[in-house]
Amino acid sequence: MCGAMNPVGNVYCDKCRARLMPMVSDPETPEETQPPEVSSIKGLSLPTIPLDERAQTEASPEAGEFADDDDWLSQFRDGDVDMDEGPLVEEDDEAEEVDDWLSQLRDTAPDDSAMGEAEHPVQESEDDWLSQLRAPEPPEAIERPDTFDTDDDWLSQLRDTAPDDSVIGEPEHIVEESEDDWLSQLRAPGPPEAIEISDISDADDTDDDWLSQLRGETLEETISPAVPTSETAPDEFELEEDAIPDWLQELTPEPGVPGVEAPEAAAPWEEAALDEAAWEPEAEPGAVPDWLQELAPETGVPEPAAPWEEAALDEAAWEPEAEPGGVPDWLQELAPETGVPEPGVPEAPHPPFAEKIETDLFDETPDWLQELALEEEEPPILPSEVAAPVETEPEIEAGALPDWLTGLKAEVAPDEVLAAEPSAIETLVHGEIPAWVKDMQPRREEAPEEVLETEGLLQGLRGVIAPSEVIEQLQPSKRPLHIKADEATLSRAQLLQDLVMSAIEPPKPQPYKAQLQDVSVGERSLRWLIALALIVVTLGTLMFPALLPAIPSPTLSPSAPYDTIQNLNAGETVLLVFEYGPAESDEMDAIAQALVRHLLDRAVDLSIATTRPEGVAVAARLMKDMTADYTLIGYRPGGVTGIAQILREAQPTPQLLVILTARPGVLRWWVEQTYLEGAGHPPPIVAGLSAALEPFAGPYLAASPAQLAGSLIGLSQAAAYERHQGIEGDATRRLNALAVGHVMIVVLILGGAIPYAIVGRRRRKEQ
Amino acid sequence: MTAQMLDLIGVATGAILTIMVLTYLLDLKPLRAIYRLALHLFIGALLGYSFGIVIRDVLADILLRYLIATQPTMQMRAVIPLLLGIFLLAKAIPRKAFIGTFSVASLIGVGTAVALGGALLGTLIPQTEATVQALSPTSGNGIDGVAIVLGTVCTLMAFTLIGQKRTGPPALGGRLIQLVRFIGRIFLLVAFGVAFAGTITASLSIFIGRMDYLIEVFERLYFFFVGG
Repeated sequence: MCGAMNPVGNVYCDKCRARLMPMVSDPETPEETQPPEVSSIKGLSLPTIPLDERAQTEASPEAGEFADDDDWLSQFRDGDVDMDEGPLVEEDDEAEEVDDWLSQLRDTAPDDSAMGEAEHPVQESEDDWLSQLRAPEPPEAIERPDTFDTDDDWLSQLRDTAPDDSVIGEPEHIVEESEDDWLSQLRAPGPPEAIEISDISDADDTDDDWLSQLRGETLEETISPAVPTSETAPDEFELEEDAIPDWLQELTPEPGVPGVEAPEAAAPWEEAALDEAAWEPEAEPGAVPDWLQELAPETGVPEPAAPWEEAALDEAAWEPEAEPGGVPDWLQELAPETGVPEPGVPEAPHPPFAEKIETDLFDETPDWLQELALEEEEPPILPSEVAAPVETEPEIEAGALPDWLTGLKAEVAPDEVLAAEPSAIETLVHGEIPAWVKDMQPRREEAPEEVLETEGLLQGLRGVIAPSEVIEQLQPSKRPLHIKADEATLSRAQLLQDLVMSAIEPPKPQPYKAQLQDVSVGERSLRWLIALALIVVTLGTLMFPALLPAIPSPTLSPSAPYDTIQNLNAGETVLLVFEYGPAESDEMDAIAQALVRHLLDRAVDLSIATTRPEGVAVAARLMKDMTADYTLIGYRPGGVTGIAQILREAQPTPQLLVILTARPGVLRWWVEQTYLEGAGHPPPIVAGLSAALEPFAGPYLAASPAQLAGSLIGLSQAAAYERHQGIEGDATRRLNALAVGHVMIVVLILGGAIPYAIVGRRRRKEQ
Repeated sequence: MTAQMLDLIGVATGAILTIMVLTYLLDLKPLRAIYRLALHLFIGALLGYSFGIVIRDVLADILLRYLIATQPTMQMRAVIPLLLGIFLLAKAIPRKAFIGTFSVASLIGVGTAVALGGALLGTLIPQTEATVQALSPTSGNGIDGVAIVLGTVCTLMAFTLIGQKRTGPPALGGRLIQLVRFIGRIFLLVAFGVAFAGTITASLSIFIGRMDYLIEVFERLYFFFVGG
């Protein structure tokens, strides 16, 4: 084999035609003479056996019947074993008890199973006429130097070149029973020739010498020297002219003719097999070639097809009904020359086989073959040698070939064999494709140039359909719409159409001059006036507080957390949460100072935490200003999850929670998470809130029980808290400014609302 | 340079930045640039400070403390957040952004779960109970309790979005709903007014605090340079 890779299921190598699967015929269907349906012809390969069918045949128990096979036949068969199945060993299961030439005949069958089935009907009638046919032919002794082969070289070589040998098993077994009669008749007239076989001890009585020699030759040739891989020529021997029958002498090539290589000799049959001539299921009498028919009447046997004829016909031409005229030309040409149907002639070339012969196989073979096999001393052939390509042809001594084979070799060169195979295909009748099929034939058209995408997700791809092409294909319906719509509906539809069709433009920033133009001078002057009023009032109040009249001091709110903080004991832990930043510190610091001062008075332990990074700085600055000691838990990220983490990690559990924040969401988070982590018994919460959070803190203060133990909201309550503590801090100092600022704001609101109301009413009247 | 000097420089810088922000009141083009500059400075300083706080309080304090802990459970508490945080960095790479999806999902999922639990137990249930108890005679709320319940119901009804046919006068139920919605809107207006007043008060308080700060800085500068 060539070692080329073949698709799974290939029985024959596409490259070297070597068989990739071992072949086994189906012994259970001997009655069927119809050839199996040939699935397809791959190039020049022969029909194949489906794998499942092969598995069935291998698993058949009847295969054991063929255990009594001849050695050389075993070797013959083993040559087909695929290399993948390991080294070649005798096939014990495939017993073949048929003559060489008969098995060779069957080797050329295109399909194993078909071949095996086709020979069964013939077996009953073959003995008589065959015996008569062969009787007048005296067996010739063959001078053989070293081997015990009793077969002809050319026959063995022919056998070696058979493309398919799996057909041997079953047919040979059938013919075995009838072998002796005709052989004995065939050999009887001729005196046994001296055979140069040294160690034959127990020659079979039923076998003639010449046949033994013939077989021995064949066996030897198939065992070792004819191994296709070995470049050495097979053992040469010369046939004594006296030992060769007449009909064989006619076939004997002249001296000096180069050895015919087996595959070359088989080439004509291969070509004939490829002619796709119909296979003849049963060889009818009319299917026998003329030259065979001429021979048949001598035997007086009415004529079913002889096995070799059938085999030859099967291999030469697979015709549905093989009529006399359907015999290939080469057979008709050969017939007059030989005069006798030669068993080995029609055999297809077969690759030579060689393998190690097991001694136990001799027990199952006929005696005469065992004797011959005992003389064999050829070394075992390595599997690698067996697996060598079939093209390696052993050289055959010129004298070992009949004339007609020599002529065939001369006519058909090795290269010509391969060249002739395509010609066989060419002889096939070319069918005409119907016109309608031709119309369906794809025609090559000029493909549009595919544009390479250079950007976007499809960058680098070719042949992308442009979106515009797809969109343009969606043509609006030209069918008029019968819809009754009023003007309002149409106007809305038109507006929607305008909106859809209008290009979407990103908003452009308005230039500063345009912004100034939008703001009138009066409006800008009004802004400046308000700002100036607030600044003057605030600064004046802060810088000159004595100029202001006395403002009633605020009272402490009932919701103030004074009592809650006052109830704290020294050393208890208070978690102080700074949830405000520098932007709110001007308000929140005053509130925080009031609460922290009270906490410091209670000598509690302060822990400071925050969920805002800037809260750390605010807390540090405030605590530094108040010279307070505290434990910094620090910043915890995550918003609400950070709050939960602070509450979970706070150790020890705080007795009071003071939340300082200016954002409503943070206050809600702290209250909620405190209730969640407190599991129904949360610590009291005191909130120091911005004035903006008073509406949001109300529900928590008004709840029953109150979720907030107290709240200090805004600058005014902080001032009241300081006053309640007897301290005048920043809240108290800023409270006057806040009061004046509120008055100023009220004045400004009234000053703006009254003119606007007057002007607005006038404008509405004008409209 | 003394600490007093440094403190004075810091205070003076704060005063300058405050004035730069107040230029927004004048609404003039050259002053607007100054205002924007002050904004950028504040934002940059805030981000830088926050980054430092995160490194100190989160990475150095929490993460390292857990990583060097001998208890495997403590180490696992640091490893998993660390991996999630590393995955989150992949969000900066568009092609690898999917790696950070799990981290974002964890953040959103955990945050939502925690917030929902807290809202349910900390706000909805207590506030509902408080509303119901407001009408209880034992609560002693009196008119306040009625106002609380009425305000709550009417405010919630103000967000009723039930459509009604325009044909014909509304039925009695429709009129009642309209009335309740109107009352609810009044409560909302009052609440918004109070919130706006509180916002104005808070803003005014902040403004007063800034003015007080400026006065303090000028006093310190005056006494520092002029003495007194």
